Amino acid sequence: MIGVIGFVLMLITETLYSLRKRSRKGRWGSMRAWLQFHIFTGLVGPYMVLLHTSWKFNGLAGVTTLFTMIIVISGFIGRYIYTRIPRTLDGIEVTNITGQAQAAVLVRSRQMLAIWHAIHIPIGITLFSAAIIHIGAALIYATLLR
Amino acid sequence: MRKKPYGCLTLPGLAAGLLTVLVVSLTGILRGGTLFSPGSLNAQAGTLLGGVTSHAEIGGRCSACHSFFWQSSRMADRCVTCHMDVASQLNDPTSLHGVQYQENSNLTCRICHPDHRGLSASLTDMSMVHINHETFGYSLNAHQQQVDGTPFACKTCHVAGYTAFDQIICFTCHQQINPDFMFSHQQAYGQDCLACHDGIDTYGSDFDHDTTAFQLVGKHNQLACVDCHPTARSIADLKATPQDCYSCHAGDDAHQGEFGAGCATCHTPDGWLPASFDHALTRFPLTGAHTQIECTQCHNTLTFAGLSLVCSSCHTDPAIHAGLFAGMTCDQCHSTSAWAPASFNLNHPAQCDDENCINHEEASCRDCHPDSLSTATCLKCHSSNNPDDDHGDDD
Repeated sequence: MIGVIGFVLMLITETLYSLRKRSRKGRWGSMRAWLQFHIFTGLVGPYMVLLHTSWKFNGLAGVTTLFTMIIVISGFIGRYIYTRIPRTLDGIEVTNITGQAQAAVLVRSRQMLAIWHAIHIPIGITLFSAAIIHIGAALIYATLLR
Repeated sequence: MRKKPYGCLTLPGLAAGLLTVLVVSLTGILRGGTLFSPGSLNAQAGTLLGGVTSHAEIGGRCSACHSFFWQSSRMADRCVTCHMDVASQLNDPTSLHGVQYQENSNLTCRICHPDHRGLSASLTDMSMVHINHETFGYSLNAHQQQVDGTPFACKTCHVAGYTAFDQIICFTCHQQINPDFMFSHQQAYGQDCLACHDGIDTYGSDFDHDTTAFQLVGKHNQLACVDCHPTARSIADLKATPQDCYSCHAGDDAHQGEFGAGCATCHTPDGWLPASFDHALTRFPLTGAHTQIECTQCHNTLTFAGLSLVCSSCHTDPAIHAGLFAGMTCDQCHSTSAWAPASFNLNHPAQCDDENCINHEEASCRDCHPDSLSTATCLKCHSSNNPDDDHGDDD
């Protein structure tokens, strides 16, 4: 049960955060608040998943746990790259940067964030794919077991 | 501006998802269901059943045990495919499996026998199932805590398996509680504790003998169980113990059976003495001095029934009678109150016809016959034995 809650937290925050990021019509909540919520659920969800393992890491379930831990570490890294880019209070990037040095730092940071994003998302997809198969197997072999 | 793909639907994201599904599928095809196994199956080898000696040997063939929800057979059905002995036990009300199954037909094998818990983990875990232990003839009411206060586990008593029980375990624990009692109790009754003890203290430390038909009073309260129940080896034996006095006290009978087996007519459990025998119920009610003497003064040979009622059977003719009353009985002159005064009412051979002489009627026998009734003396009152001497002058 604790694993289910953890998974739902992780899944919901991921999809909602992505939706909000790409939403151009309804500006519901600030990006900063959404990111904080994403970070919060991205920590609490995996923690619950870790409890759910009861410290056994067999087979696909073990692999899923491994990816969960990787995505958390990746999230930490991403969060620190993210802070290098100046933003408005609402969490929107500031574009009118002056000064050569500042501009260079900004460009490098944006590049790093793009690379990180390209890695973070596939890890997340891998994690969710493995988790969904794990859930399916658990339903068949345990939950619906007769 | 090119519209960004939704969320995770980037090319690397989609590729990662597809790759994951591919890897999982390939692993599943190559290695069977072990990918989804939550832990190793048990590898402890047992009897050869279904072609294997342990569950570990069927690892990867999930469907050997697991039935999918769309299939009609259940996991329990697949268990008994190999464990056919258990299948027959389910219909045996005397077996552990039979009792459990008949109490709760929803009980499945895996509730007590989980697997996937490691190569050497126990295949039996009763913690998830309530065992009504009284079903097996032994209540656990009195076995909730051990001597040291820790709760009982199944294995505390069932060391060699849940269906086995060695009664030496009773002795091992209980001698820690009261070693002296346990030693003597075992000496007296042997080692088959369960023959009498059913776990609800029917015959345990809280047993109240007064709840039986034979209440313990007086000295009966100070006895050990074995004093009255020396040969009992079961509850039925204990209940069949005779309740009449003589069954236990035949050897104590000082009357050698003369009064029959009704000890309680005279005696109480407080002791053999004092006895409350009512002599008035006999042919010889006790009166006078007879009430003051010990039983054994009459019953000196401890013969109580059939004694002669004739005085002379106890009392010999005294010397003073000098044989003068042969053929008479004592009670013609004497009462049971005392020998003297006696009421001699026969004609006295020495009559005094002096009208002035009245003292002779008041004299006792011994005044004139101090030693023997065959001789007489007047000297207690008179100065001479000759009636003619100064007769009438003494007064």
